[in-house]
Amino acid sequence: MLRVKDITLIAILTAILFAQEQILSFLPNIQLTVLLIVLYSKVLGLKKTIIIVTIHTFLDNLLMGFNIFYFPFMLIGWLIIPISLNTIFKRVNNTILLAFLGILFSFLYSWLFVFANVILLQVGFWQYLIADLYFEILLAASSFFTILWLYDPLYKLMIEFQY
Amino acid sequence: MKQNLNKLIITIIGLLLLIVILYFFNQGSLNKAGTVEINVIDAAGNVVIDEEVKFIEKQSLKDILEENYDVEIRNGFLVQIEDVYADGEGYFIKIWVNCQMASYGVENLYFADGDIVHLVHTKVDDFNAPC
Repeated sequence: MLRVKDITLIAILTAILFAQEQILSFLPNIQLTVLLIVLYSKVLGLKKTIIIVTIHTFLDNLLMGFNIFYFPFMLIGWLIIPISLNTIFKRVNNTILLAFLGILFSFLYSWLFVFANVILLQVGFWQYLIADLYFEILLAASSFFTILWLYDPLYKLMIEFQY
Repeated sequence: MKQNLNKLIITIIGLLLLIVILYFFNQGSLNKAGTVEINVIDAAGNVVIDEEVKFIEKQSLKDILEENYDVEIRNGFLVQIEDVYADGEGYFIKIWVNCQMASYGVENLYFADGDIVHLVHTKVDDFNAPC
């Protein structure tokens, strides 16, 4: 059962997640999304992060012009983060290791889109993968560096506010 | 303190690695000079341009088109080439390279010698290939 405080926090944190992605959308695949989902997963836990990620993905798709085909791929791509960080990587709390996990999450998220586009646009698998690799590396690099340097201060900030 | 030093070392190594990777990405075979076949298909499906044009090293599709045709590019999107016009609302000019939908826009699309480009006046959500 969620308290009013939880619902309010979920709304605010979803807004932050969504807004930063839109603000940084002029930069190719450079965003704080992986950092924030990792942070939320570690501080808020699985249930609340799943709610945040689901709302964010829905809003993101709605803004892009809702395409029902991309929605599940995007949702799975982002949900991998809270699910794995609260199960198989539950004991990983070291910032440097989390930064390396950020690289893994970025590539997994990007590769899910390869499958979506191969099916929907009927483009060649390897051709799309190679064309997209540049952007995958940018996403992985931005996730890695932002987790490395911003995770600790943001984590302390959220804990300070009792989350 | 030690943690921050480790982060700094990892950041420097990571940035160097990133620079090397991105450098090699920009050194591909798609930067050489050659010839590209340009096909332009209008709203009725007629081929209005079908010719080979030469390009030099590091010329993007935008550079090639601007050098050879009367084009209008708006916010990175090709909206007009000669008499074929699509305003982006309902219709747009879709770019195909070697019968595969282009993964980049006109400003970031580079070619290898012998590539075939189709610029097709297309309805939004139409995924039919021109070849």
